[in-house]
Amino acid sequence: MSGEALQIEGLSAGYGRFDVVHDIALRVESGEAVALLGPNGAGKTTVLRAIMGMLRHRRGRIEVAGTDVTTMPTHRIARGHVGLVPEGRRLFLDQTVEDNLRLGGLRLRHDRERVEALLGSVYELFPAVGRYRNRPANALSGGEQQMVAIGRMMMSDPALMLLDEPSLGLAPLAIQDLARALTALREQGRSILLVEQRVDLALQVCDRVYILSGGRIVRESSASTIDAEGRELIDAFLG
Amino acid sequence: MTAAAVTAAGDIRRRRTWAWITAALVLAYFGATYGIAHGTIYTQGLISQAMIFAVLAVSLDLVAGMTGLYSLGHAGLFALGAYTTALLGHAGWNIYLLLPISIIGAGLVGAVLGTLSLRVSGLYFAIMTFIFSLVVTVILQDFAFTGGLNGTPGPIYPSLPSWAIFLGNPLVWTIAVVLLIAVTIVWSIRASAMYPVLLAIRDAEPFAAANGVRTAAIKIGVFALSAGLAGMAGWAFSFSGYISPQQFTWTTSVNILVMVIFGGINTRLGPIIGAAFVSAFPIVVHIDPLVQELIYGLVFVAIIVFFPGGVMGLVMLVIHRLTRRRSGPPLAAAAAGDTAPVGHVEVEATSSPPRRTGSEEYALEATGITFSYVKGVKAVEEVDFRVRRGSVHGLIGPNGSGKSTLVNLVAGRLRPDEGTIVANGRRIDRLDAATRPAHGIRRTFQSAVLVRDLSVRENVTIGLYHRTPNVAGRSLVWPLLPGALRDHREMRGAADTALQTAGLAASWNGARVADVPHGVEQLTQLAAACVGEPSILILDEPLAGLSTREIEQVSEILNDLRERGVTVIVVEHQTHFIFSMCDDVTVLAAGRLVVSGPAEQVRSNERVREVYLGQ
Repeated sequence: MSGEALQIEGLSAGYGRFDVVHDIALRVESGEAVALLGPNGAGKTTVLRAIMGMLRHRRGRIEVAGTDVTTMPTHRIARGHVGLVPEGRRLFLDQTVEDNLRLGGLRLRHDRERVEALLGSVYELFPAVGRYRNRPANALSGGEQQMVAIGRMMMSDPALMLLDEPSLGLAPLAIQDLARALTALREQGRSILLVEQRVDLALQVCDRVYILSGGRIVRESSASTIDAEGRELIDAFLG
Repeated sequence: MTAAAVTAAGDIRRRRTWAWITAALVLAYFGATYGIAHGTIYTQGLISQAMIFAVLAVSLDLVAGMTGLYSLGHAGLFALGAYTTALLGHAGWNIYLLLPISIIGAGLVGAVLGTLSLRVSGLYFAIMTFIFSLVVTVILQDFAFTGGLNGTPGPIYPSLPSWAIFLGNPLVWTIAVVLLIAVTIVWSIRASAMYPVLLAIRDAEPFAAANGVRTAAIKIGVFALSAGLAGMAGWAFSFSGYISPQQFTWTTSVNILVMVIFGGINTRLGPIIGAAFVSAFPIVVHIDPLVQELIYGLVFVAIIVFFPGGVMGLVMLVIHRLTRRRSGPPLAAAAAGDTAPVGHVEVEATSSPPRRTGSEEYALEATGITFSYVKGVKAVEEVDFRVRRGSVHGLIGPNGSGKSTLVNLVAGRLRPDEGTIVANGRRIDRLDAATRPAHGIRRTFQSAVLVRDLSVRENVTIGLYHRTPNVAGRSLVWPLLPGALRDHREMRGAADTALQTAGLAASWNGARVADVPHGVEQLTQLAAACVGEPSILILDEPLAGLSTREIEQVSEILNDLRERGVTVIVVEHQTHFIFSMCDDVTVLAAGRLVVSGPAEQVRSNERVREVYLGQ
C-alpha cells in the first residue's frame, strides 16, 4: 500500500468568523491508523468537521486519496469513501437500529448483497446491536447507541474512517471489542483518523499520533516511540 | 468583604443610571403619546391599532419565543377580552371593572389551553390552539347574543375630566398605558432570573426539572399570563367602534405570529417592530391591493430567508459588524486559556449542606426495584441499591445493564413498577423529578442536557432556581425589586464560583453553550448540579470526553464533596477512576444486581471480572 489516504496542508478552520484551528498539516497514509490527541477545546472535532466539508469557514488544502476535496460539499466527500462517527452519535432515535444502519449504507443501496454482508459484519462485531436490531434507537443505552453510530459508519464501507471519540460511554469490555474492531478494519487496508481522550486506546490502535493544542499541531510522533518515552510527553500536553 | 461592598456600590450606581434612563424613556413615550392623542383621526387610528397588535405580539413572544409554545389561539383570547367588554359594557357594567374581568377571564381560558401543552407540544400544540381560535369564531358568528356576523358596537370610552382635557384623546392614552404594562411585564421577565429557566423549559426540560423547576405549572402559568395580556388588548380594542367576528379569525392569530417572527422572535423590540410593520403596511401603502399583497409577501419571505432572526436579527448583525474590531474572538480567547489556573480551589466552608437528622446509615435505600420500558422486557429487575451516607458510590456494568435506568428511577425521570426508594429517611419513589431537589437530590445527564442559546454561567444559575425565593412571581417586576437584583447578582456570583471549582477557566463563563466543546459542557452541568448544594449527587458518566487533567479535577471535586458529607453516586466506565475514588461499588448486569460492597471486594470478585472488567 502506498499513497496518502488523507493529506492536509495549511488548514485553518472555525465557526463564524473565528479560526479554531490554525495552519494544520497532517497526513494519513493508506492503511494507516493515526490518532489526533489533545485537550478539550484544542480543535480536534473542528479538524474532522473541516475534512467532512461541514464548515463553511475553511482555508488550506484537503486531499482525500489524491483528490482535492477542499471546497466539495459534504455528501460528495462522503461518497468518496469517507466515513464519520460524529461527536454526540447523532442517531435517528425514533428509527429502529437496523434502519439507522441501513441509512449508513445508502451509498451502496444498489448492491444489496454487499449491504447485507456489511450488516452481518456489524452485528458480528457488536452482538448487542444485533440483539436490538428491531428496537428504536432511543430504547438502547448510551453505550449501545455509540456502537450503532460506529456500525452506521462502517455500513458505507469507507476507505477513510474518521472517528470522534468512539469510546465515549463504552464499558471496558466494549472498549476492548472496539480496539479489536478498529485493528481488524485497519488490517483490511482501511485508513483511520481517530480522535480520542482515551490515550491508551489510541496508542493501542494507531501507528502515529498528532498532538493538537490551542488549535495548532504541536507534536507528531510514532505511537511506539511515545510508548517508549513513557507518558511524559502526553502528560505534558494533555495534563 | 470590601470587594463585595465595591460591587454593591457599583451596582447601586448602575441602578441609578438605569433608573434615569428608564425615567427618560417613559417620559419620551408619554410625550409621543401626547403628540398622537392630538394628531389626526387617521394617525390616531393607525397607531392605536399598531399598539394593540404590539400588546398581542409581545404577549405571544412570551410563550412562543421564551417558552417554545407556538400558540395560534391568541386571536381567540383577544376576542374574549373584546367581546366581554363590549357585551357587559352595554349591559351597564363599569368599563374599568371590566379590565380585570377581561384579563382574568382570558387568563383562566389560557390556563386551560396551557394544560394542553403538557400533553402535546410543537406543531400539535399549535394545531390545538388553532382549533380554539376556530371555535371562538364560530361561537361569535352563530349566536344571537354576540350580534352574529354583524358584530356588536363597543362601549364608548368616557371622556376625560375637564382638568385633564388638555391630554387629548383619552383612548390613545389608555392604549399607550396598556402597551406599557405589557412591555414592562414581558421585559421584566426577560431581565429576570426566570428567563434562563423559561429557555430551559423550552430547550432542555429534563435539566429544568432536575433543578427543581415545576415545568408543568410554569408552562400553564406563563400561558395564562400571556392570555391575560391578550385579553387586556381585547379590552382596549373594544372601544374602537364596531367589533365583529372577522377581526378575530385564525388569520389574525397567524398574523400575530408573523409579527413576532418578522420583527425577531425572542427579542425585546422585535415583536413591537413586527406589529408596527404588519398592521401599518396595508394602510400606509396605497396601491393596487393585489400588488400590495405581493410586495408584503415578498418582503416577509425575504426577511425570513436572509435574516432568520427577523428585523432585530438584521439589526444585531449590523451592530456586530460595526463593533467587530473592538470585541475579540470569544472562542479563540476561550481556547487559549484552555483550563483553569491549576491549583485547587477551596470550597467555601459556609456552603456545606445542612446535615439531615436521622441516624440511618444510608442516605439512599432502593429496595426491590423493577422497571420495564416495554411490557415483558425488564430493564431493571428486583435490584436493591443502598448508598451509605457521605460515601462516593460507584455504579458500573456493561452497556445496557440498566445503570442509567436506575439513576433515572432515583432522580425521578422514571417511576418504578415495583419497589421503594427512600432518600434521607423519606420515601420518594412516587414524587416527580422536580420535587427531588427539595429532598437534596441533584443529578447530571449522560449526554449533557443544557440550554445551547444561553451562556455557561446562565445555565449554572438555573441550578439555583429552587434555592432562590419566588423567582417566578417576582420576575413580573424583577428590575423594580432591589432584593431581586441582589439575588440575581448573587446567583451569577455563585455560578462563577461553582464553575471555578469545577475547574473551568473564567473565559468560558460567558461563552454560549452551543459554541463550547463537549468537556466544557460536562463540567458546566457538574457545576449546575453542585451549585444547588445537594446532599445526594448523582453523576451519569461525568468523565465522558474529559482529558486526564480534567478527570483529576473532577476527582478533587468529589473528594471535596465527600469531606463535606455529600453522598455521591457515580456511573462511570473508567474503572481506574471508579476503584481509586469510590468507597463502595455496585455492579449491574442485564438489569440485575451482580454484587455490591466495598470497592476492593468488588474489584476482586470473579463474576465482575467476567461480565465487566475482562481479563
